[in-house]
Amino acid sequence: MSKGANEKAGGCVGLVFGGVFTFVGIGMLIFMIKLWTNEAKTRTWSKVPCMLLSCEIIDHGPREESPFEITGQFSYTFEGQAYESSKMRSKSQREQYYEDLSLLRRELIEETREGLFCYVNPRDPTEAILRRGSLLSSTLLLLFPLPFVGFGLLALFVSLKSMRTKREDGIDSLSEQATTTAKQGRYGRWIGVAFFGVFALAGLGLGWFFCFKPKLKARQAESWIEVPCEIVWSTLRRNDGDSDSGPTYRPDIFFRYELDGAVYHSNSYTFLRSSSSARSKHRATVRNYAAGTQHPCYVDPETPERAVLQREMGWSWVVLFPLVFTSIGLIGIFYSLRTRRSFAEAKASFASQTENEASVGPHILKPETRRSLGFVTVLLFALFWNGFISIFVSVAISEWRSGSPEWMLMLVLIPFLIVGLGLLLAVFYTFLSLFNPKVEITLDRHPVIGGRPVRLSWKMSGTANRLRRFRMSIEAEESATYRQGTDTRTDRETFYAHTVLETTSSLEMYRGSGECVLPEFLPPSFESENNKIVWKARVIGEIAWWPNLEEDYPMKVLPSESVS
Amino acid sequence: MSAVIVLSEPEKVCYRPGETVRGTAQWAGSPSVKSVQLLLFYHTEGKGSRDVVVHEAITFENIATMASQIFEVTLPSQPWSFSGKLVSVRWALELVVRGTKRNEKEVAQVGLLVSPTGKEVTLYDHEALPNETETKKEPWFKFTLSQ
Repeated sequence: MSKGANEKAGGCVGLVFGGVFTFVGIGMLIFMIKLWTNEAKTRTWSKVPCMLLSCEIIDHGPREESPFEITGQFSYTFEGQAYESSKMRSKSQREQYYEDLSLLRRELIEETREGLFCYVNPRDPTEAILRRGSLLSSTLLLLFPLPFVGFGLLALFVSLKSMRTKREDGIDSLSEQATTTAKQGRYGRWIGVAFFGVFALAGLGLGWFFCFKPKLKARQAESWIEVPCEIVWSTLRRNDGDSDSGPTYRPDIFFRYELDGAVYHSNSYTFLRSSSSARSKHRATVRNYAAGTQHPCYVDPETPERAVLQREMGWSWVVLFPLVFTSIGLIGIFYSLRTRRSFAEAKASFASQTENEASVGPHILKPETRRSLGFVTVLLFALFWNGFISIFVSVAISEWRSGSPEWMLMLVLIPFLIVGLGLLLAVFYTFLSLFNPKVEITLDRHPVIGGRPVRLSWKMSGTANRLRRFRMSIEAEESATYRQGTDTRTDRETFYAHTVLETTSSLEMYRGSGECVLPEFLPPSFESENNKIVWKARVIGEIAWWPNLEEDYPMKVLPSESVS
Repeated sequence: MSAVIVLSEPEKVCYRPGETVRGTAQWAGSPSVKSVQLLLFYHTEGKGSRDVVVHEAITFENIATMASQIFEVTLPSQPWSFSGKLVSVRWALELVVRGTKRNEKEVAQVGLLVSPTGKEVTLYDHEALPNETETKKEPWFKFTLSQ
């Protein structure tokens, strides 16, 4: 496919991508605005004293998705006229967790002693509520779809801009594209930071709700009192979620307990309010806590409405999600800032430097990639990939053990498992390469000037005698980065290579030096945003039954004054 | 409106890095001209996404009273004009005359060859480079063992 066709295809993909994001984002935004206005209008209602006549929590049984309902009656007077209402709060009267409603009831009863207030709609005084929802939560929810809309509109804008055809009247202004490129570069940095910032924030938010908050509660619960409790009913709740990840499950166990002669209820199994795909495990829990059985539970002595069946909180795989989100976010922010800065630095230094300004003195070349960094990157990726796959593998195994194997899931998992195994091999390979001998290359001056002699020295540390063959060369390559569809690819082609040393003698490999002259009339180092000319020293060492030594040492080459 | 660039040495094929390019920028349609700008820039061609980098930009003043201006721009030491399998670099001078109406503009372009060899450097044709053969004749690399 030609470059133009590629760009056009990329633009179309961007349009579809941006359109879907914007559409979904606007849909969510409309829904959130509706919720927010419902909540905000109660802020205009009149606050009047009222009296709680009754308040109780009804259990509708395990068949209901939200089985608990708070009901009651309260009376109030507005503009001299008496009214009664049964609407306890602005949001639904129903809840999945009994504890939320029993705490609300406790608050209302306590406030009745001190003076209870309710909120009356002045336009329709028959409408009143005891509890308003949090406007802050509604406002925060309003922010949630904004990144979707923002990214969608941005993708649409960029795609349309890239697809814009040439000027109708003839010559297109190329220099104007430079302004656009520079602007995109500047904005791109902050767009990247914003995009990955959302990831990092989402990770931290998930971490708070799924890891730290439950862990904190579990720590506080160490001082709670152990009392016997009786299971009223227990059931396995199914959450269908989205079609890609499949349904998730959680045990819902409603129990009764007594403290200081009073009877309480709760359905908090652990402090973590989440569901997972481990159906068999949750089903076993439900079976264990069958209706009518007795079990110990743990009660907060200060607020006896709070109780839990399991107060220990292990580090489950749930921790993985916040960790992955935060890591992706932070790594992305780091690279967004780093890439743009390095390009800006390179641009400034390449444009201005001449032979006379080049620093003279010994200079040790740094390898293009650090071995340890390569190993850590492969290790992290392998851990992430295999950790993620292991969730589905464990589901497949547990389904198979329970006698109802999911054949489709097993088939789908096969290619993912092969990639996972390949990654483990890559981890092993990069780990072994950590122990390869290290080569230190020193130049007597840097940057190197084309056509001028430069002294190059090498020194090898580690077990050089393991090398069967060693080759060191100076190479120059052109590199082009381009977009194909939604991918960004970089192609490289070597246009100059000169072998400095090729030997099988350990003595020669260990240490040596020589003088060389780079061609005067080949282009010096060059770097623009997507295109480069890179000069480098390249070392290749063959080791029997071991990963080969293969490293590049980039160097900067400047043109000589005589050619200008 | 119209825009024209006339170089002082129109017969000159190639400029050396660091050399000065002289010429005259001409435009017509004075009442409707809003701005006139001359830009010296390079752009990449080839497989990679196009990069355009402006090296120097001159904004002409007194455009209402004058219809031409003499200019002088100095080429940088690099990048050179070169041609490869994946990347090529081209230099150009561009005169952009903007009108008072929205999107009204005229553009004139002149390509420049910037090379120390007197012609475009081709990355894979080392034989064509002057002195390159001579360089190869000499021992390119001598290594000494230092124990």
